[in-house]
Amino acid sequence: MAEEPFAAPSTKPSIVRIVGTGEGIVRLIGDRGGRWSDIVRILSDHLARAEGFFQGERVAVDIGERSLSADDLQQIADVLAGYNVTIWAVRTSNPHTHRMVQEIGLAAEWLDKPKEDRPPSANKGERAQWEVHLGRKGQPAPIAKPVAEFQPPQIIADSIADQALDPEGGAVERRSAAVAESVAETKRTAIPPALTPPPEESEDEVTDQEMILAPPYIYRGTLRSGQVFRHAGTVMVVGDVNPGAEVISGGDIFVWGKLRGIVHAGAMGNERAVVCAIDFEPIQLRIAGYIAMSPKTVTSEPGRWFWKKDAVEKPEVARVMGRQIVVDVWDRE
Amino acid sequence: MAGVVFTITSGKGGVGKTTTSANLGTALAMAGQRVVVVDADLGLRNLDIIMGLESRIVYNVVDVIEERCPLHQALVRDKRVDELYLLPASQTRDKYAVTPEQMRSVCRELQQMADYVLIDSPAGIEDGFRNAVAPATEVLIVTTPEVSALRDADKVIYLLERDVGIEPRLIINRYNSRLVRRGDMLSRKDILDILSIDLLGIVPEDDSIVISTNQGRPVALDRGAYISQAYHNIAQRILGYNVPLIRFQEVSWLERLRRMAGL
Repeated sequence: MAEEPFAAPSTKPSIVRIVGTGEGIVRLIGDRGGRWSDIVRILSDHLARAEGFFQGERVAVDIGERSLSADDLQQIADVLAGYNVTIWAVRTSNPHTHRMVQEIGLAAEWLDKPKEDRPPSANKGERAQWEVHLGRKGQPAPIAKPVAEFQPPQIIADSIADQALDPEGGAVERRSAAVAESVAETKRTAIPPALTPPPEESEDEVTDQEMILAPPYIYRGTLRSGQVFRHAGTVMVVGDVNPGAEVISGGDIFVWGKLRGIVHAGAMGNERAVVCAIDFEPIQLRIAGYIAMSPKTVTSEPGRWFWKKDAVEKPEVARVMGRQIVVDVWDRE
Repeated sequence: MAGVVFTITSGKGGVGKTTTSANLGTALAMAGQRVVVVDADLGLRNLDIIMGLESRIVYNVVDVIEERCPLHQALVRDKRVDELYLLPASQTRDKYAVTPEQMRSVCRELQQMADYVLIDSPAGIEDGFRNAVAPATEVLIVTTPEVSALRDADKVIYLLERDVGIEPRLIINRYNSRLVRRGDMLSRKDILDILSIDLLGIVPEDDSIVISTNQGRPVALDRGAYISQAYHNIAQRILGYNVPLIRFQEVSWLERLRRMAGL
């Protein structure tokens, strides 16, 4: 890929590089040495020198192998936000950093390092990963939508959750004006309103086309209470999703273990998304704009705790059928 | 050899962290170890009351950190056992008086003089909890067989794995085998199913805990007491012995009848 530095540092080879990649701008932060505070300062200097050149840009931040805490990441997001630059993805080859990135709600991307966790399409080209491909089934999907139109799943998820709790559609307190704005935008464009039938026009083009988002992500390990896992593509959890944990995915969700938390598949409005689990007992289940609560939640029967039920010893699958979520035993259809 | 620092925590309050700390400390000391129990619940100190050492406190952990006294002077010795000491919390200062680094340095010093340092963590996952787990080499999670306690324990395990890198071990407290058998309480299997960490021990529900707490005399001191055995078993397991889980004492039908009659 052709990389041309926009703002080369004046003296020694800098640990911060800004590289253009055609449509977007990728900001590279080398992992060789340097204290994090210095890196953030240098980056800030670069932005100051560029005098608004990057205003309103969406950038990817490449962190390399460096291990960062959520605070460190927030720091850099704040610096960028100060220059009106938003991060659309963070690239890292460090598992800890990767987790932290997801924790603070940014999109995370694997670099080359941990081979087994790399999404299969990672070599297609750096940019390809986060573009929305629209194309016929079985055909190689042409790049149709620029990255700028990619909506991070958590905002949509939030808006759906808000609407679900607030059927009147009244004002819901937001953390910041910026988020409120983007949610409002999302409501207009991307998703059908929660719990109401989707508008007719959403049926036409997208339904007979396969929507491919980010590559699938395999999460190994147990998601515990308080943990939220967000990914724009399909998510596979090899382990359990405990009560109190959440998985939010733009595509399908597969749990190779016990599903007992909250899952939201097709969080960007894809009603064809499915949720499968070996042991299927979620507290709450959302697919696109639909919400289902566990029918087993309230029971007066002694000895039946909320995650216990008459054991269906088979994996189950949930999908949207006839404008509601239907759960079936998984079998060869 | 430097001693081991155990932090006893739970997330949820009222599940028995302090009782467990007091009894486990006592049991370890009775097994011939030199033990210091540290009350890290600054501002809401309880451990001294449960151990019955309240009246003998002069200095506390904040005094040590702020160098108003040397460490050994703040330690209160429990005379009922050889080599059991308490480092009390401050009642007037709160958790913001201490940083994780300061807790680490105090515990490093304690490790030089004791075989086991037990830190009684406050409830919650905020600064007090972070102070308490910072010096830990091992963490014990206390939970009761309740869904709310379990949910909080699960979150604490996640935080520990993420921030401290310690795989904690579990103590199930107030386990009522009769309710479990009837299917009215989460069973050991249910709990381990969710938390999926190593089980260090189970402490049955017992009235004598309430009595001993109010008297300020840890039940572990009376080897004869049924519940005491649970704590001694846990202590033995910490010392590396393979001890089977406690056999639950059954309440006879006569006893139950007597209780029903309110006698």
